[in-house]
Formats: sequence, C-alpha cells, structure tokens
Amino acid sequence: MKPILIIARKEFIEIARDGRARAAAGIVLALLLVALGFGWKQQRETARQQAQAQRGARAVWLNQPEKDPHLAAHFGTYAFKPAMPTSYFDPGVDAYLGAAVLLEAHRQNVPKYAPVQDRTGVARFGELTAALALQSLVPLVIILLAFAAFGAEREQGTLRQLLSLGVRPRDLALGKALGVAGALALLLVPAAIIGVIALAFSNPNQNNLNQSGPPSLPGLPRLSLMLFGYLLYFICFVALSLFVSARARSSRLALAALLGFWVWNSLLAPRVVTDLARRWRPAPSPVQFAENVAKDMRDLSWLNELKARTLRQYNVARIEDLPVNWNGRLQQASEEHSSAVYEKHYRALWDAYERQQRVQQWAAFGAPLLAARSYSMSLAGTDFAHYRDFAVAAERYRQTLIKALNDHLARYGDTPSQVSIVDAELGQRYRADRGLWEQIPDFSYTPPGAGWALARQRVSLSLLCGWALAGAALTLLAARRMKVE
Amino acid sequence: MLKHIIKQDWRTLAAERTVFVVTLLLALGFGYALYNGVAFARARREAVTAKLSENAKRHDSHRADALRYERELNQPVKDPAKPPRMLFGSMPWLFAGSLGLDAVQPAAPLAALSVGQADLYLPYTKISIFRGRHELFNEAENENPLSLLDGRFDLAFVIVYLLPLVIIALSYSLLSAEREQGTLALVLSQPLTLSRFALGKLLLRGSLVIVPLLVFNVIGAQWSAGGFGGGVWWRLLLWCAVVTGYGLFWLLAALAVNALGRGSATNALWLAAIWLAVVLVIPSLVNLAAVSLYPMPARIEQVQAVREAVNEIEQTEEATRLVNFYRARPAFLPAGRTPETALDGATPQFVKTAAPSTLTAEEVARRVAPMLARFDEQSRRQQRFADAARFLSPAMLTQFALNDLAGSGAARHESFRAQVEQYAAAHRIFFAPKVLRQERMMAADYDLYPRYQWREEPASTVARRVLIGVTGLLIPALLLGWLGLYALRRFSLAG
Repeated sequence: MKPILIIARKEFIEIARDGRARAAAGIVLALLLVALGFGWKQQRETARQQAQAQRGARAVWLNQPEKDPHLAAHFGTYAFKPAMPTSYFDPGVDAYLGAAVLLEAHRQNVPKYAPVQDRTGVARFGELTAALALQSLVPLVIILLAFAAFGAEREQGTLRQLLSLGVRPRDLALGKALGVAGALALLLVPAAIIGVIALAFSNPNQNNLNQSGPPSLPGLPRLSLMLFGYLLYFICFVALSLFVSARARSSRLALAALLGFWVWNSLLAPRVVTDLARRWRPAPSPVQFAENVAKDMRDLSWLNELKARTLRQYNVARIEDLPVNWNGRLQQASEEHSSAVYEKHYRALWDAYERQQRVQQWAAFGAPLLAARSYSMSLAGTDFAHYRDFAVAAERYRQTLIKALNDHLARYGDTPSQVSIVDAELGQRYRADRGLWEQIPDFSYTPPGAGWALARQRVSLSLLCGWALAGAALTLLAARRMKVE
Repeated sequence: MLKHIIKQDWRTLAAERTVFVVTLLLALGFGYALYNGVAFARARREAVTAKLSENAKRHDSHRADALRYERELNQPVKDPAKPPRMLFGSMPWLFAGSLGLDAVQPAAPLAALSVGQADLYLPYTKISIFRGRHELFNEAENENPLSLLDGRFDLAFVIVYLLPLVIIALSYSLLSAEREQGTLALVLSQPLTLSRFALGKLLLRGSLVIVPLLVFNVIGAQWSAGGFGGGVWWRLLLWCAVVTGYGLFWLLAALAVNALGRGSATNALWLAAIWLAVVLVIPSLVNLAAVSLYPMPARIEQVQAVREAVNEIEQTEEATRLVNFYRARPAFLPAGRTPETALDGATPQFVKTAAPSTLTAEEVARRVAPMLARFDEQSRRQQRFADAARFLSPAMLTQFALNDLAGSGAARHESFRAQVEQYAAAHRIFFAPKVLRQERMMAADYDLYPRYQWREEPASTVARRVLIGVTGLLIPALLLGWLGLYALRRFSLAG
C-alpha cells in the first residue's frame, strides 16, 4: 500500500503548488457556492409561495358564493406543484414547466406559468446551478489537474526512473488517481457539507428551529444518492484523464483530446441528442394535439347511449318527463367521456417525451454527462417524470372533484320539469352552498420517494457505473502498457 | 510581403491537416444546424398557417350563417309556431367569446437561422371578450422541457459557441508554435516586423474560417427564406457584420494571448478559460443577477388575485350586478328594455350567461390591472438590465443580435404582446356592446370588425439595436488587438 500513498502525496503536493490548478479550483468552488446559495434561496421562496398559494386556493374554493354545483365545477380550483427540498441542488427542468394547474370541468389543463417565460434571454445560456458546476465545471478542473499526470513525468524523464525503481504501474496509476481525488476532495467536501446543511433549512414551512430533537432532513436519501452518482461521474473523468495522459504522445496532445471530449460531452452532446430524439420519437405539435383532441370530442355516441339508458331506467319517453335531475347526469357522462379523451392524448404526448428522454439516457453511452444529468434531475425530483406524476395526481383529483359536484347535482338538483319553470327567472336554479364545498377534501400531493426516482434511472445509473469501471480498467491497462519515452 | 507570409503559413497549415478537420467539422455543424433551423421554421409556418386558416374558416362559415338567418327573417313567415331559428353566426358572444379569434404573428423571414426565444413563445394567442389581459399568451406550449433547457442546435449556436472554438484551435499557437520550433527567429531575420507577421497569420486564419462561414450563411439564409426580398438582404448584411465582429474578437483575443509570450499549452488553457467565461460563466452570473436584483412577483400570486376577484364579484347576485351595470351605463341597454327587464323571460338562456360573463371578465381585468402593471414594470427592468449587461460578454451581444435579425428575440415578442393587447381592446370595444345590447351579428358586421394585423418592427429600430451590438463587439476586439500589438513589442523570440 505504501508506494500508492507516497505517489498520491507527491501528486497532491504538486497540484497544490500549481497556481493554475489552485486558481481554477478556487473559481469553481466559488461558483459552486454561489450556485448553492442562490438555489437555496430560490427553493425556499418557491416552497413558501407554493404553500401559501395552495392554502389560498382552498380558501377561494370555500369562499365561493352559493351556486349551481356545475358552475362551481367550471370555476374549479388550482393545484400547485410543491417545490422539492432537493431542487436547490439541481432545479432540472422545473423552470421550463408550469407549476400551477387549473382544475375545471370539461377540460384537463396543463400546468402553466413556467418561470423561464418571465426571464430574459440570458437565461438560455444556462443557469448557474450546483448541477451545472458539478456536471460541466468540475470535469474541467479534473482535466486540468490530471492531463499531465503521466505526460509530464515522461517529458521530464522521471517516469523511467520511477519504473526502474520497481514501482508497479498499477500502483502508479492508483496513486495518481488518489492524489487527484484528494485535491478534488478539498474542493468538493466543503461544498457537499454546505449542501447538506442547506437541506436542513430548505423548507421554510417546517421551522426546524422550533422542533425539539434533531432537524428533519426530508431530502437526505435523495441527496445522498445524488452525491453518489456524482462520485461515479467524477471517477469516470479522473480515470479518463489519466488514461488519455498515459496514452498520449505528449501532454499537449492529451490536453487537446480531453478538452475536445469535454466540449462534446458538455456542449454538443445534449443539444445533438435532444434534437435527434425529437426527430426519432416525434411528439405532436400544439396545433396537432388540439386537433386530435377536438376530433375525439366530436364523437357523441356516449350522449345517445346515456339518453337511452336513463329513459329506460325511469321508464319515460322524453327527457323532459324525467323525475330526476338530468343535467348532473349529463355533465358527469360528458365529463367521463372528455376525461378519457384527454387521458388518451396526454398519455400519448407524455409517452413521447419519455421516449425522447430514454433516447437521452441510452445516449449516455457516448457522453457520460447525459447519464449524470438524467440521474441527478431525477433524484432531485425536478425531471419530467416527477412533473408527470404531479400532473396525473392533479388530474385524478380533478376527476373526483368534478364527479362529486355532478353527482350532488344529479341527486339534489331540479328535475327537468322544475328547471323549465324556474329557468325563466335568472338565478333561480338549484344552488349548493359552503356545506358542499367543505365536503370535498382538499388537494394534497406527496411527491414520490427516492426509491421511485432511482427505479426510473436504472439505465443512467448502470451507464455511470459502466463509464467509471471502464475508465478505471482502461487506465490500469494503459498504465501497464505505458511507453517510457 | 504579406502575401508571402500568408502563402507560407497556408503551406504549414495545410501540411498539419488540422485546418481541414476543423473546417470540415464546422461545415458539418453548419449543415446540421441549418437543417434543424429549417425544420423549426417550417413547423412554425405550418402552425401560423393552420391558425390563420382556422380564423378564416370560422369567419366565412359564421358570416354565411348570419346572412342565411337574415334572409330567412326577411321572408314571409310560413308557420308562426316555428319562427326561423337563429344560427351560430348571428351570436356575437359565440364568435367573439366562446370561440374567439387568434391573433397570429407571422414567422420572420430569417426564422430558420436562430431559434432564440421563439421556442418559448407561441406565435398566436386567443382573443375573446371572456378573456382578460392576464389570460393572453396562456396557451400551452407542447415542447419537451429538455429541448427548452438545452436549446436548439441552430446556426446561432454554431456561431456563438463553436466558431470561437474553431478559431482557438487554429490560432492558440499562432506565435508560440513557431517559437517552440525555433522558426520564429528565422522568419524574423527577413525584412518583416513581428506584428506584421502575426497579423498576416491572423488574416489567413480569419479568412479561412469566417469567409466560408459567411458564404454558407448567405446561401443558407437565401435558401431558407426563398430570396433576398422582404427585408432579407439588409438583415443578412447585418448578420454578416455581427459574425465578422464576433470572429474578430476571438482572433484578436488569440493574438493578445499569444503576445503574452507563454507556451502553447498555456495559451490554449487561457483561451479556453476566456471562452468558458464568455459563453457560460458571465451569462449565467448575469442571469443570476437579473433574477436576484429584479425578482418577478410570483405568477401564482397573480392566479390567486384573479380567483379572489372573481369570488368577490360573484358575492353579489348576477341579476343585481346586471341591473346595476345597466343603470350606470344605459347606453348598453338592449333596445326597448329597462335595466330591470334587460334580461327578462324572452331573453335566450345563453345570452343570460354571456352578458354577465362579459362584465365579469371586464371587472376582473380592471381589478388585477395594477398587479399586472407591477409585473410588466419589473419585467421591463429585468430586460433593461439584461440589455445593458449584454455588453459584458461578446457571446451575449452576438446571440441577442442574431436573435433580433432572425426575429426570435425578446423585442419582437414584446412587440407582438403589445400589439395583441391593443388589438384585444379594439376587439372588446367592438363586440362587448353587441353582447350587452343583445344584438345579432349581421353579415355586414363581419366586414366591419377589427382584424388583427401584425406590424413588423421598423427596420431602423432593429438595425440600430444590432449596430449598437456590433459596436459593442468591435470595441473590446480592437482593444485586445491594440493590447496584443503593444505586448508584441516586448515579445521574446527565444522564449
């Protein structure tokens, strides 16, 4: 074990003395901390607004004046996507998706008000987040620390001396890797500690200071798994850098090759793969989507079927003669039809997005960033799957809400003969009051746990492991076959 | 002499083959970007056409309805028990309310060159008397959020991100390589100054990259826009100016870094660091500053305010609200009615809901107007900050100028928003009184109602903004060039 540690120590000291490395690491650490601080502030603010809005929405629902239950269904209510406690680390696609969805009769809406629409064009250059720093900037620091690991020794002639001393190439590679890792740890461990502390204070609605006992850390499993993923990602970059350094003819060429890989990995691959995925697994355009929905809505066979069934049930010939409320039944049947249509088309649309996402996950074969990003977003709870889970839960709530209102109308509402009389006087229809509004439970949504997210990221996690293992194996192999000159 | 330098340098470059690989990569990237941009622009044009034809179809069928109903009314009644039935086209609340009209923004001629902010905003929005200002531009955009996060691989991307990398790859060792090989001293034994030598080499590299890029650009733009007419030529001219200015910045940055007299590897690292700062770090810090200094009020608070306003309005009985309204504004009374009988038994049920819905929309809009004004004001401040801060990074200057020229920038969308708001007001002034007075839509009304017509920003406004951007590129570029030439005086040939 000893030679490995000696080599690691020498490598570490060399890095620590290198002004370039110190400056780069310092800048990245500063950016990482700024990103964490800013993300934390944003996350707290969002969580506060969301909780307040959800309470407000309930109050608005309860404070409705007396009205026809179906009008209340049209008025509807709002559901707000809760901010994940881990979103300060990786806000993922949160900014590009809406967080407020109107739940109303006849229509499944998508969550609206994506924050990015209220930002300037500068936002499109990429937002400074901890995830960006870890996915793009830290690999750059790793390259800077390690590109000359073998090349410099070779160019200075010390490599020949080292190997002549009987140092095994494996130990040399491991020692160098450890040295780089030690330098990296100086940068990352403080950031990770600050990250975990920030997590404890990420939810402004749960005041940890007033609780007795240790503060609760709702996102800790997610955060730990996320950090594990980043560890694999960094191992992969350390290994790749050492591999290229061992194989390249000169350290200058090693640097060029590694920077080229970095440009591909961080800059080109995400855009290229997203574009290709969109082409291979196309999703309907907004115009197409609306047309598809409208086409299915025009099918009114459910109406005739409902009429026939209801008339038969009450043994009358005309709707006007029904002894029960017709509108509630009509509305509920129409609701069930439209819900089914929306469900079909949203499922198709969202499945298309998820197919595009899967292309991205598999494309991590060519660019580890794609795996790290997908994994990180998912564990942070800020990817599309989490959004979809929320949207589906909101839709399920909408269906029960509207059904409760329609059923109430069907049961207590006026019969057709009554309506035709009172209809003459505006506003004299059957009305429900606060009693009914209160009977309907509030929307409550608990985001899925870390295990759920992890299960969706098997491909990404496997590919990250694969990259790390392959990198390590290649490095050891290259070290063994290294040319001294 | 310059000719000789360039010729000799070209031979060296050609022998190294880097230049071919790099140019090939750039050409491939360029082709792919153009292909992508054209696909985006085509989808946009299709959406615009679909919306316009939807508008036209609805207009035609409703107008025909109105005409038919008018004719039936003018004919002698056959069966008094069965008066002619009113058709959809005669109902203003349907045409201008429940169905509504789309205000459509046509695609700009160079839309294929830069997707910019266009993928965030739809080029159409529904105008209806039942929708307040807060509901404009509320349509769902079906787009995979990952695409939005990554941005498109379009020409602007190739120019802003990849062009500098190509320039850096070709010129990071402009002088350092010659010095490391020991040829620099040899060259300078000729009657030739170092700065002239450096500029000659720079000129070759610049023209190798920028000239083909400009030619590609012009051909691609001409092809995707289908000619040089309709403002294409001056936009292209400015486009070329922006690309040249940006390229110049990077060439002179390479000169300045080389003039410091360090080794090739150090030069490469310095240039890579500058690139990273310019395209990533500075923009993301500016964004962070914009969001922190001018935080937008939460949209969900706006949602809440609207809902509360509706609840509050509805606390008063609908009938009472209508009577109150007609009392206050007798000009809107249906012919021959009093406020109390405005919606009496003879009024069809749908009119009974349409009139109060119109009033509610109006009232909600009035109540949330101050809040929306606060949003707008903050948004303007944020934009002003971003406009000023773009001078901090040539990449931002370039991206925004290219967006402006392709019509995918913030300004064009803002102009659309302002025009739509103006139009929505005119639309309301025309249709809302018809609903409140319970008037029919006559066939003649269909020829009178205000139509939305997009007005492109004046060329001079766009050109001025872009030219300011170009100046913002040239100043740091020339400054770097001057610093480089100044530092070259102390350049040590031996290293």
